[in-house]
Amino acid sequence: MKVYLLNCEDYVNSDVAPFKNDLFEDFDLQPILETMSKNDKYVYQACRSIMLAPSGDRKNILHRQNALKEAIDNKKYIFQLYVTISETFTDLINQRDRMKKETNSTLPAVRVLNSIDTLNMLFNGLENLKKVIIDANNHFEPGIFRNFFEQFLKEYDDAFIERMQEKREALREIQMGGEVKISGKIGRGMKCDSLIVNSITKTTVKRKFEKWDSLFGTKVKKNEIRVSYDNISMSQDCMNLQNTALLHVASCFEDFNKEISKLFDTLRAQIAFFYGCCNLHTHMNGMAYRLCFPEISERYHAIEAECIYDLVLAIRTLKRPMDNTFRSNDTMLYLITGVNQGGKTSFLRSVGTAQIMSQCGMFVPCKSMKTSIFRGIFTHFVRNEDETLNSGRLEEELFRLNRIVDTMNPGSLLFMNESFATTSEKEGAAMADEIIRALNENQVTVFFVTHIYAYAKKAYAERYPFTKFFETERNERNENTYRIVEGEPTQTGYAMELYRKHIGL
Amino acid sequence: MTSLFSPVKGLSFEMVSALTAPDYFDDLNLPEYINVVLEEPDDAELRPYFYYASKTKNEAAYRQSVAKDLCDPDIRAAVNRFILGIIVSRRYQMLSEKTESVQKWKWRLDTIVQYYDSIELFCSDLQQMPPKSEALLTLRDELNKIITSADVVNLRKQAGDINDEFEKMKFRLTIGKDNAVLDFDYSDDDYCNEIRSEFLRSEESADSHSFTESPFGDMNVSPLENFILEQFMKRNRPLFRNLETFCGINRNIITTEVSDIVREFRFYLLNLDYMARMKVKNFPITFTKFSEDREVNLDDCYDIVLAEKNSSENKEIVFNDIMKSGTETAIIVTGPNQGGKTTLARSFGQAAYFTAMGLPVAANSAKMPFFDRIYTLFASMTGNTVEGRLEHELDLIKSTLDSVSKESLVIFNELFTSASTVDALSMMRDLMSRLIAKGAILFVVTHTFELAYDSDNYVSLVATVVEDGSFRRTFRLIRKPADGVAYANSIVDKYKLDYEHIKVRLSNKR
Repeated sequence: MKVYLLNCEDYVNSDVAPFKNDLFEDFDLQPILETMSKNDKYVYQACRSIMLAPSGDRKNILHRQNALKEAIDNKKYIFQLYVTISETFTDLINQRDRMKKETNSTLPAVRVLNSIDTLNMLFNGLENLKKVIIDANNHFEPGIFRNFFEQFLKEYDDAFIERMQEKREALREIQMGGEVKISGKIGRGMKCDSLIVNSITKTTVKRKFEKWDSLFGTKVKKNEIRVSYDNISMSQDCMNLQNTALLHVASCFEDFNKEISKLFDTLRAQIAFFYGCCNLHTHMNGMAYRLCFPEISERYHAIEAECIYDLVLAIRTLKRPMDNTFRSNDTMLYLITGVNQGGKTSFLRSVGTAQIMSQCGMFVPCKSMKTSIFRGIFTHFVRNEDETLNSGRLEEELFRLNRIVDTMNPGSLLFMNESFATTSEKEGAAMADEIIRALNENQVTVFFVTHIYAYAKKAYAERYPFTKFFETERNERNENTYRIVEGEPTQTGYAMELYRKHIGL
Repeated sequence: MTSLFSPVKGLSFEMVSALTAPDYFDDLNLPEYINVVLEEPDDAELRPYFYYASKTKNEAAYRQSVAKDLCDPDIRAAVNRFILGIIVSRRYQMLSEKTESVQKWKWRLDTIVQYYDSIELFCSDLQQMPPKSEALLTLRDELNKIITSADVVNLRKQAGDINDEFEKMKFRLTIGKDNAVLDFDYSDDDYCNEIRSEFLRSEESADSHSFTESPFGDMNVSPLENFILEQFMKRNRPLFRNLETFCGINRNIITTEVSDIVREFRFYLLNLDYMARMKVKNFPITFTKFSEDREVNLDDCYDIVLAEKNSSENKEIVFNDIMKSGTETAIIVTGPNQGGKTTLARSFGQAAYFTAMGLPVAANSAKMPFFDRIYTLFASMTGNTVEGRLEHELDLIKSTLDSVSKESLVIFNELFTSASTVDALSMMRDLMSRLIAKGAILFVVTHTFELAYDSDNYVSLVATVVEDGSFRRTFRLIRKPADGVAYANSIVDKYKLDYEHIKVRLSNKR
């Protein structure tokens, strides 16, 4: 059974984030994922992999938005679904651990028992899940979840559950001691070969004379030869053969096991995401932060937001961060300059996070947002991690940029933070100018936080097309407001700041 | 019988298994390569084949065409079937030696049937998809001769007749709580189908299926099996007598030649499989084109051992080009330490080795002459004293000079580091002129860059560093005059990140 909660039916995989670790690091997504997962490792991983795979498929994004809206309206049931599925998994994992300890015992009998145990667990899990789904089905409005619930209830209807019960009973009977008919041939080396189980039946009560005959291993019918169990090795052979046959039959339930396990697997991953989103939603609501579902524009490279804030900063500081508003007029380059610690990186992160969340079908941290679907989302942030190779950083930087250019398509979105700062300003400006111009001309939208004043000044003076200039805002007392506002780039005294920091005045 | 290694017939496993690793193996990291390729301890018997490099260009080309044939998926599949068939028949033969009486004869019958069936299938497979190599064509004809000889045709006829009778032996066993009943009303009803039709909801077919694992082991008959067998013996004594007579006469069917061929095939397949896996990981693999005029042109070559290691650690590997014209006699590699020079020397040596093995080389494209001998002299750590080390190096050089031929490759890596620069330079000059006089091609990694200017026929390769004052290594080696200082180049150029290039790179994707 296919589950179309997270993705719509005709969804084609269109992951737009090739460099997932970079997104994760540069936008600092960990606090968001921690809030979503509430210490559940599985939810963390599920949400991580989904959030790091923003989609390029408009239909699918809208589908997920709708599903998420339904989930947020029914948080209680999403929670119940997740808990029920997790419990089944816990049972299965415990059993698997137990089986691992028992691997010494390869006795077919033990393996038959284990195989039936697994079956029982999955079956119970299915029954429990069915209960929750029946309940939820009565509360959800018609929509994506309801479709799934109804399909589930049809697939695993009462008649199916009944038939399943029967077979399980039969298997249990056989364990208690039934009659197994096996046909075979004489194969290579005179060994029995092509063994096939013809039937398994409950033992019938034997008539007296048959029992008597069996004691002597004599013929009862023509062409029939009795094999007496008085001979220990013969009886052991027969028992082994019977157990192997049972195990073989039990393996026929494998398909069913696999199907249900797979259903639980898929469902768990999908519900975990909705559960995570619900947690995040509750958390942010609790702090009275605004969240909204973005409008997914059909236009290309347009992105604008009203009162957008840095979700990560909000979660980390438990304080409402400054918010920003910006519009797009076919803007291809958002050039952000200004003082250090003025909120530039935070701005970049707020937009980047919101764009990822938008393309994941999630709500976003702002009052309203209207955005296009970008064919790729990339980050190029300056890295300080390897201090020993400090002077080789330009090489490292361009190496990464080269990888990005290799991978990206026109219609992508690139967030650059302090790129080209590892060389002289003159060289950096020339590089930035060439690279960004070429990117823009190929329909790559760029958000660029930079200290390269020479470059920003040139772009501003020459009125670069489709470019907007942003500055860190200062109040009348010349203090940072941590807001980003449109305006002419000004020399920030970055060099002096650095000089002060390193040399001291 | 023909061999896959040499156009000269009669290569025996005994001869190969006496070989030991050539001297250059350790320097080129080839033992590590072998260890990775021979994953299973079972494959240990293949080890000596690695030491058996071609002695002539003719032989190398002969092997290469075998390897090329085996890259054809159809031929490879046929070879795999053949190998498996022969391995199975060998196992039956082994079982017939270990078991007694009636079982012994049946295993032997199974050996005969399986063995000739495998050969016949292989011949017809190769008839349908003809190989191109001389080796496989000859092998096919030889095997065909065996299979069509009157003796073998007659033998298979008799074996087949007896086997048919055994194929008919079927029984049914009803295992109850108190006893079991044996009868002969064989049925192919499959109880599993009943369950599977209920629970099989995927589209897989519900074929009737028998057990894959027998509870009775795979060699001797168990008491129950023996009991069943006795019932059949009672019913058809003449058949069992026939079996015994027939198999008593025909023993040891499998020839050592066929066993050797299987081993040789396995050697090729293991290597080719390994290289195919490298290719999947985006490491280029190619067959060498032999150059007539001593030209070398290796495009994007790399150290296959390092590539395997780095890719498993998610580290990058750098590809380099090695080029020299037919008249150029030596390649001189200079540049900073840890700049990829030794790796390049290994890459080149490995390419020469794999070419001599007839196997593909680790490069994007490869053209080079056949080298009948490979000499490697890597900076020696042997000997506790400076004099000891130099002495050890000079010993090796002496034996190299004594045996080097005009088709040889000599690789020096940082030789004479224990001597003064002036001394090292004059020793190198003398040594190189001697070797070149003998016709060898030299690949010299050295810190004395002056060497590169000694002759117009020397190619100079320089390990490059980043031009930002960091001297960070790129592991790229570029053909340019050796200057003894770090090679500086614009990184932007290197990554093609200027305006024009980016525009082209992106607009190609529209």
